[in-house]
Order: sequence, then C-alpha cells, then structure tokens
Amino acid sequence: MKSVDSRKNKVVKYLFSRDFATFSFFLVIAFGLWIMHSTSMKREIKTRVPIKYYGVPDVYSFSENLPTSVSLSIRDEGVELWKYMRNNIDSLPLNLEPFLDGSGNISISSDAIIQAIRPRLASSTQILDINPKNLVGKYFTLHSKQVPFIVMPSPSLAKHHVLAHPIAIEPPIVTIYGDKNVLDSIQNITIPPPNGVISKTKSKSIMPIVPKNIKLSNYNPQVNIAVEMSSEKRISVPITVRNIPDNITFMPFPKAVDISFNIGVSRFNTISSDDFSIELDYNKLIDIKSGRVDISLSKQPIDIDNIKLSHLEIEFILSKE
Amino acid sequence: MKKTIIAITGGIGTGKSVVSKICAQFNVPVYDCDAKAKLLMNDDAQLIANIKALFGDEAYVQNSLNRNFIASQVFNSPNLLAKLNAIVHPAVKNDIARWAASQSSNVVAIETAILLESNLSDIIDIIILVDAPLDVRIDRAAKRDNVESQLITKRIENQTPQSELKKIANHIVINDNLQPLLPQIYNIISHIKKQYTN
Repeated sequence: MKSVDSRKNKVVKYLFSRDFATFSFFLVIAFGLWIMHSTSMKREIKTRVPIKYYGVPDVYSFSENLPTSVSLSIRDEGVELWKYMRNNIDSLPLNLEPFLDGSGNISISSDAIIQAIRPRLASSTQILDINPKNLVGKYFTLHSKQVPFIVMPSPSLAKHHVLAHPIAIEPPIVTIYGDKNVLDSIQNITIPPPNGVISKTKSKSIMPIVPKNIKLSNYNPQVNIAVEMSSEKRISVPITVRNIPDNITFMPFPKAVDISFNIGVSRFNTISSDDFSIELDYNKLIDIKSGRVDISLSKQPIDIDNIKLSHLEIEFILSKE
Repeated sequence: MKKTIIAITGGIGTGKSVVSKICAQFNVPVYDCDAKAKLLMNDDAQLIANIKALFGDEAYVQNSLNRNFIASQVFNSPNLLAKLNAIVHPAVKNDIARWAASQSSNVVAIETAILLESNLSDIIDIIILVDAPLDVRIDRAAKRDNVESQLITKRIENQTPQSELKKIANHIVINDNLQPLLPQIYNIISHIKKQYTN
C-alpha cells in the first residue's frame, strides 16, 4: 500500500517538473508547425454537389430526369478542403428555363455547371474534373387547359347556418397540363371541403385532388367559406312558360308554388320571388296528355338550402284563343 | 243583376277546397260556408244573441264562442242541434246574399259540405258535386286531419250520401288523384259563364 502511494507521488512530482514542462512546450511548437505545413499543402478531394432544378415551365414534363447531383474533383490548400469536408457544398440551384427550347432534349454543358458552381468555391480552389460532363435529360410538351376549381362535396355547415356567399376560391381557375385525352375528360378540379362542421367563416389553403398524370398551375388554392346564421323564409313563385305562341293561353293550377328555404339572416330581406323561377317549356307541355307536369326550380339563389316546394306537380291547360 | 251562385259540395275528403281554389283562379269568387259560419257566430250580434238565448250565457267565454260547451250540449240532443242550425243557417244564407251582391263577378260560388241540411236550395243556381272513391276520401281526410281512418269513416257515415247528392248535382267533378281537376273545372266554369252571362 505504501509502495503504490509512493509511485503516485513520483508521477505527480514528474508532471510538475521543469523537464516535463520543457518537453511539452516543444511538443506543442512541433504540432503547430506540422499543422501549418499540412494545411498549406495543396491536396485533391472528390465531393458531391446536389443540384436543385427550377424554372421548368408547367407545360414540360421530363421523361428522362436530369442527374440530381454532380461529382467534383477539386484541388486547394488543406484549410479550404477541410471547410468543404466539414460543411459540404450547398446544393446548387439551377434554372432550366434557358435550356428548354422545346426540342425535347436538354443538355447542360460542364462549362455551364462550373460557371454555376464557381461562386460557391473559394477563389483558390481549382476544379479538376466534373462528372457527369454534361447534364442530359429528355422532356415532352404537355397539352394545357383552363378549368374551374370547385369545392366538392359541399362543406358540412352547423345547424341553422348557411353560406353567406357562394364559396370563393382564389384563383377560381387553374391551368391543367397533361395528355390531351386525359384533359378532355376533366371539366373541373375538385377541392375537398375543410374537415368538420363549419359554424364560422373560414379561409384556408387546401390541396386540390390532382388527377393522375396531371399537373396543375396552382396546388394551393385559397378557399373562403363565409357562413352565417340562417332563418326560414317562404316565398310564392309564379309558374311561367316559355316558347308559348301568342294565341295560346297557359293556365296552371296552382298558379304559384310556395317555396320555403333557409337563408342567411343578412340576406333575409333582400331575397324575393324574382330570385326564383319555375319555368316550363311549351314545346314539352304540348306532348303531355295527362294535363299534369312535374315542376322544379329553374332558377334559385345559390346560398340557400333546405328548399321545399309546396307542389312537385301541377295541372295545366293550354287553351287556344 | 242577379248573381249566378254555384254550390260546390261533397262529403269529407272529396276535395272541395281544391275545387274552390281552382274556381277562384278562374275568377269565380268562393264563399266558404263553414269558415264564414264560425266567423258569424263570433261577430254577428243578432246571431250571438240567439245562440245565448238557446244555450245561455255559457255559450260564450270572453266574447268567443265556447265550442266545447256547444258541442257537449248538442252531442246527444238532435233537437238542440236542429234548433242551432235553424239559427245559424239563415244567418249564413243572409250573409251569402250580401256577399254575392258585393262581388263584381256575375258568377260566384259557395263551398259547403251540408248543402241539403242548410236549406240553401232557393239561392243556389248550379250544384257542382266533388266526388272521389271512398278509400281515397278516407285516406285524404285522415292525413289532412291527422286522425285514424275509422274516425273519418264514421264522419262519412253521418253525412248525406254522395249518391243522394249526385241526384241533384248539375256537374260532377272527379277528384280521384288520377284525373286532372283543372280541365274538368275549366269546362264546367266555361259552360256556366257562357250559359249565364249571355
């Protein structure tokens, strides 16, 4: 036990001795000189630079994608290379628009790539090699068409609430790109309604449902759903007939149909029977032998709901004068 | 100028009201005897006095006809019911005459379910009977009044049979939910207007 303590005391004594201090001093000096020598020496490394392409017009779609990165062989002093190794080189944003001439082939030369990468490197850094030499891809031109955005199905509104205004979508129209046959089958782009029951006016950016193999000019339309408390209103709407000759009198029974509906309180006093119509076509009436015809609203305000008609069928006579 | 008065009649559930509405649409004003009789019993001073004389002051509560009391009195007393009718029917008849005279149309109509019982024959020129199959009448009235169909059947049994009314009717309108009403009534009204206005 005594001998262990004695050894420990000897080591501590040595660490605080003049000899050890002198040895350590020269060791630090030597290490510093070695670092200075190493970092000032020119060396070569290989590094990979990711590329982020942008500026591709929606009308183009790639059939063969461009490489997502390039490999660089660079030469510089150790200090600079050390920085590249520690921090990596930021991804390179590359605007493709100038290279897309509509030919279907794109080729970006090494000179163009180097030109783009150069500002990201120290002036002392030499680019020895780049791989691949050229960025090559293939693309094709898509057909395009403008269609409206629609919210479908209708949003779920809280009880006794209605839309204060028609649902507003910004932008209301979207350009869609794709194969012509696919475009022909698309009449609108559907936006799903916000989740849950809506009792307050809501404005939200909603991702539309994108049909397969279709690109959109806008993936973040803003949907504004204005809701308000509603009240029931009743209105009498006369039955009219179009295309009727002057010498024919149309006599319906009843002459008017009572309509009840829910409407927002702000619009309660502004809505009138002029906002509705029940219009029949004389050319269809003349083929009806039963003297009875089904009716429905030919015109109605958009922002009402729970519409009920007092009659779904009326009787009529066409009398010749 | 004497007005031509049409009686629109028929048992419960035949659809007299719809026929009345169509007549009104053809510019024939319609007097609803049942509704008017109820109004007169509350508004006509002479009629009120006569009813009070028959049933006592209990017949009115806060100047309004005590229907429950009157119903309970006449329920088991055909004699009392006959006396009540003998008071009310003439008052209604006089009111019809006044109302008809005030109308601009030369052809007017009254709607009544009790044409024979109300002694209106001397002021009526034409009778339009509204008819419908029994099952349709029962179903229609039960749905309208929200009552059991048996109750409607009992009411029908207490009314003048349609067969009796057919004997005196000038025109019959079939309201069976199959035949359209409008042309039937249009033809009848056109015929009456031609006949009585020339």
